[in-house]
Amino acid sequence: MACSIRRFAPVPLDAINPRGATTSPGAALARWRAALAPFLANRSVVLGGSVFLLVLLVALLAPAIAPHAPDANNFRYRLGEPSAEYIFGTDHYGRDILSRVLYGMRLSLLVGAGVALLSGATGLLIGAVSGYFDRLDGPLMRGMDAMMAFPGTLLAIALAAVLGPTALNAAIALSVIYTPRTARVVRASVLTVRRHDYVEAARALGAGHLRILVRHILRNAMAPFLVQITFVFAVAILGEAVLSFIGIGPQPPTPSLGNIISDGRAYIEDAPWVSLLPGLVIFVIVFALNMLGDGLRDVTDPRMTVEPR
Amino acid sequence: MLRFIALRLLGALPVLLAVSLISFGVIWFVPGDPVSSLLDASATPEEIRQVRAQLGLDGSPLDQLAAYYGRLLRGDLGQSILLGQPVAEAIIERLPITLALTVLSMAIALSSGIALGVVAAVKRGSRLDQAVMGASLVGLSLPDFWFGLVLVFLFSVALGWLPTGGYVPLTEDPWGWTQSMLLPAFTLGTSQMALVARMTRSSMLEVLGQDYIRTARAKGASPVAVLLRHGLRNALVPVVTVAGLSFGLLLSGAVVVELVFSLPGMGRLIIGGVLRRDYPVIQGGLLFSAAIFVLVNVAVDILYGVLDPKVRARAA
Amino acid sequence: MTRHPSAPTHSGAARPGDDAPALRRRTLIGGLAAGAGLLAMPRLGLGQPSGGRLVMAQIQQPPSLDPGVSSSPGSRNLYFHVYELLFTRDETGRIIPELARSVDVSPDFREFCFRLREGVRFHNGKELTAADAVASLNRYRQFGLTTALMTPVTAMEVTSRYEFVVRCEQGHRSFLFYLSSPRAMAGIIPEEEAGKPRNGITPIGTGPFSLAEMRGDSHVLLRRFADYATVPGFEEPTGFGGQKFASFDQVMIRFIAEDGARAAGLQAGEVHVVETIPTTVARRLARQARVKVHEALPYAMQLIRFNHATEMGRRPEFRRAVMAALNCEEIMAIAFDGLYQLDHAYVFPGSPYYSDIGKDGYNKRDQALARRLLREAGYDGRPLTLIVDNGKGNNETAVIAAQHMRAVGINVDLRVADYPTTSDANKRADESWHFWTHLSGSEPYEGPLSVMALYSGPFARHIGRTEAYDTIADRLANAANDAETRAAFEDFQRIAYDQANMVKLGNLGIAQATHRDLQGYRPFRIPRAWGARFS
Repeated sequence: MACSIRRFAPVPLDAINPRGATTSPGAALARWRAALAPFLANRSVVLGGSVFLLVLLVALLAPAIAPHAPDANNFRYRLGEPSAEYIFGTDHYGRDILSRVLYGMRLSLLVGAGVALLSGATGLLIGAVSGYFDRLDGPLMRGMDAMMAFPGTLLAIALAAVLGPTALNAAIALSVIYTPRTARVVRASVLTVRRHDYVEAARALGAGHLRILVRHILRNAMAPFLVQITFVFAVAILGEAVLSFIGIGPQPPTPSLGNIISDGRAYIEDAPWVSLLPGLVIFVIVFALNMLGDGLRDVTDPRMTVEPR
Repeated sequence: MLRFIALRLLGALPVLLAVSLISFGVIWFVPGDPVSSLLDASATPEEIRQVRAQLGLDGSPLDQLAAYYGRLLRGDLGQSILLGQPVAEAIIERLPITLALTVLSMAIALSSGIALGVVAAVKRGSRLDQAVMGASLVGLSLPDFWFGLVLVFLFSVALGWLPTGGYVPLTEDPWGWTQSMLLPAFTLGTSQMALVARMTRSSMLEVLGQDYIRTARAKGASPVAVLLRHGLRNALVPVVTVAGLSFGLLLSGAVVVELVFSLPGMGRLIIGGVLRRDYPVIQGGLLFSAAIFVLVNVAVDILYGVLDPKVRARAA
Repeated sequence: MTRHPSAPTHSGAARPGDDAPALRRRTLIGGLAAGAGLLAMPRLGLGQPSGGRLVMAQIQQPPSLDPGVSSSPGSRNLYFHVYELLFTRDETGRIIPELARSVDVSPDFREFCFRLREGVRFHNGKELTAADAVASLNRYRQFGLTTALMTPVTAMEVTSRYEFVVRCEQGHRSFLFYLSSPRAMAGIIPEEEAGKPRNGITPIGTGPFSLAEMRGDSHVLLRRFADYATVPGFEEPTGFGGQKFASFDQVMIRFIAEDGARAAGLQAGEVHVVETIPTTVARRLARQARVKVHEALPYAMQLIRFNHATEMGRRPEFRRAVMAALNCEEIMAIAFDGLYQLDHAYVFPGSPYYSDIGKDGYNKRDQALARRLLREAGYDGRPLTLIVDNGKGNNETAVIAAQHMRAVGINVDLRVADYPTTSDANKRADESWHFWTHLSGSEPYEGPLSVMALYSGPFARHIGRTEAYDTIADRLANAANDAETRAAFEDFQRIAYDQANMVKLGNLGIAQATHRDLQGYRPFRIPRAWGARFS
């Protein structure tokens, strides 16, 4: 059959030779380069990825870049307009918005990363087990269904209220929502990959469940999973903003992008800059992540590549 | 077919049971109680104790659980502590607003989303496609509440064209109703539209690459007919799924939009309940929302079954 | 922009010796007017109602429509438009008659003979009689919040159609004080309603507006009560009472929690009165002349309480150290948007019980002193928790106070949570919290007796209620005249600054804003829809 569909997952040689042939560092590097090439060729991945990396860098360097301390009050200059000293103006405590946003980025990104990691790890575990072991599939998926039965925002709010308004609890609440969705994605790809020939081959060669699961199945099911957690990261940042906006996210004075917007919304007309900048920053981060996720999916999902007419 | 539906509905029951338990359980772990919303800072512990007793907050967890399920089986969602009305009544009052908002924003989202998605798929790779995809990415990435605030600022405060918030019932003043729903529906519709557009596009692309499309074209059918009759109908199936999910989600209340625009919908009811610890509202509201969501999912499953015979066959 | 000094306080315990003659004098006027004919009364010199609908915006939704059941400000606004009291408070907090024409009080405070006004109607057309008043008070005993009102009452008896007697075995000096307290108002409802369960009544009162519609999370619609009988003897509104002539056909009270949405509604002309508005916003709107801004100062006072059940909290040196460390000006300026007064006293300036006692202990801003006191107290640097709710004002106060405390070496851990959580948290008498900040508004307005309720009593001792304050509360309750009240309150303030059981940061004000076409509106502790009209 004419192979008009590019398949991403080249069959790894060491699936057939478990005690793998020795490979030289050069060969390994070349393999990595080859694997990464299609990613780097995709515009969305490059653009989204580099903007996101830039954001990460800025957030990391916040203590060095920020012109003022994020909690330095200046009560004679409250709600000040953008000026030379305060590039994006001040809030109602007289604190520099730019500095607060820089520090806020760190917290919001941490929450996003936390959610991506936590829901990713849990979802991966549940999805893999569920997709591989049929007997556990039923009950596990029922559990996931029950969790998904609650509309996400409401569940997050209820959880955050229960746990208390901190960044960690916001991350936990959001993770609870995204775990089932991630689990589903992982399960779907595990179910697909399970049927491939090399898995049968590995089993025939006597590999145990765990080994098969980890080395063969998950490795090849990674792609949709990575795409999923990219999107989860993005949505988690939005989620944290929503929780902070309602008042149950990380509390001020610790800045998070969401609670800076929330603090400033009473002054939306007098001092729109207070809410404007953090909103824009959220938008940029989420946009970059979405773009990155899009690109990753374009590259890794064979169905997306269709013969041009 | 009937069996398929029955199976789906039956499958929803354990989920609903779990949901009701969770709705009840949330109460026990949330610190604080509704009394603090009734009283001010100078309330004495005697007063607090008296009010708690009057509100029936004193029983043991098991007693309260039994009472909860007893009421539930009778169809009684309890009496709100801070709203002065039965929870069921509160929900009925707010449902039309949430429903209206949902329907309006879905209408906006579906009409423009599908159109844009089709155009983008047909003109794949062109500037138009990129523009549509870019715009939908923007729509997806905008924080809802921030976008809503910006719109309020622009259209209500600066231009004065539309009200800043509040709800005017349709029966009272149709024009006022339209005005009060316009901005919120647009805010919500924008992010939904983005999702629908992308979904439609990718689904259309997949369908357009299929053999039967090529066959139809080879047989001489006009491009428009091919597009609409063969392409769109099949492409819409996953879109229906997404739309259904969105519908269910929105029905449970688009919380932040309701907050920003002061609309008394389901979302605000539940949030208000959570923030003020109005236990019956939290329990009843969460249960109701989840039930709606579950039922909509079942409906979508059924619809999917109707549209795609393979699904029906697999489930039988 | 007008500044209205709000409620410099007056009354402490009821002083029938001083008040009674005034009350009896007023009775005469009321009686004459009533005799002049019921129909003529309401319109006497008051002109025609302007009609139309007034839209007011408040933050909170009233958690209850049942009078006396809730003391939250959201309810209060509504209660006072729909219900009335036997006696109420004027602009300065003094007790004035409303539904009662007069009251005769026995010298030992064991017997109160009330005489009601005649011809007052409820919203359902029924005439107010003594039976309704007694039934309402009985209901208050059951469901009403301020237990101090009815607990000493041992018997009540209807003696004629418009008269009834209240008997208190042990004497109840503060009966009229609590009867007229706006905190959880003892509104008078029809006898038939009074028998119903809590929150089970149909809201029917005697006030200038009747309840037409309540829509949860949205609004309450009030309708002008055409048969409202204005209280005789007053030419204008004063405080919670006085002449409450309603100009508008309808009043809609909208619940808009969003600061920005309230302000936007005002600007767009959709809302005519906004209960509170951020001061910066108010000032901007006033500059644009679209809106009239009324700044009410002082409105409340901001306090920090200590947890006396903790190791450090029980040491006076530690508490004095905290008092010395705080820069009240910075705290108040930021937390209250510049609308504040630096003042040391526990009643508002203008009150007859205001004194300079303790002034030199206030706002010392002496970091060296603070550090020295910390050493004396033996503070070891352990983390101490400051709890606060996330309401505007309290939140900022806590943030800045924490900064000041850290500046002198106190390791403060700030914990912000929502209001119900914080309410719960400060009930614990253990090391889970050490400082709590909140504001107090009605108490200073109502008078020294209400102020002492915050600091005395055998319950929640860990918040700083001491026996010394209990003694002073007793003295206030039994004070025979102004001089005794004043002396007792001065002693209270002396101890307060010496022992530093709490820290007063200052007085805060609020900004109310109204549509420029609204005439005759005067800001007060509640937004008042009576007495104003559209021009």
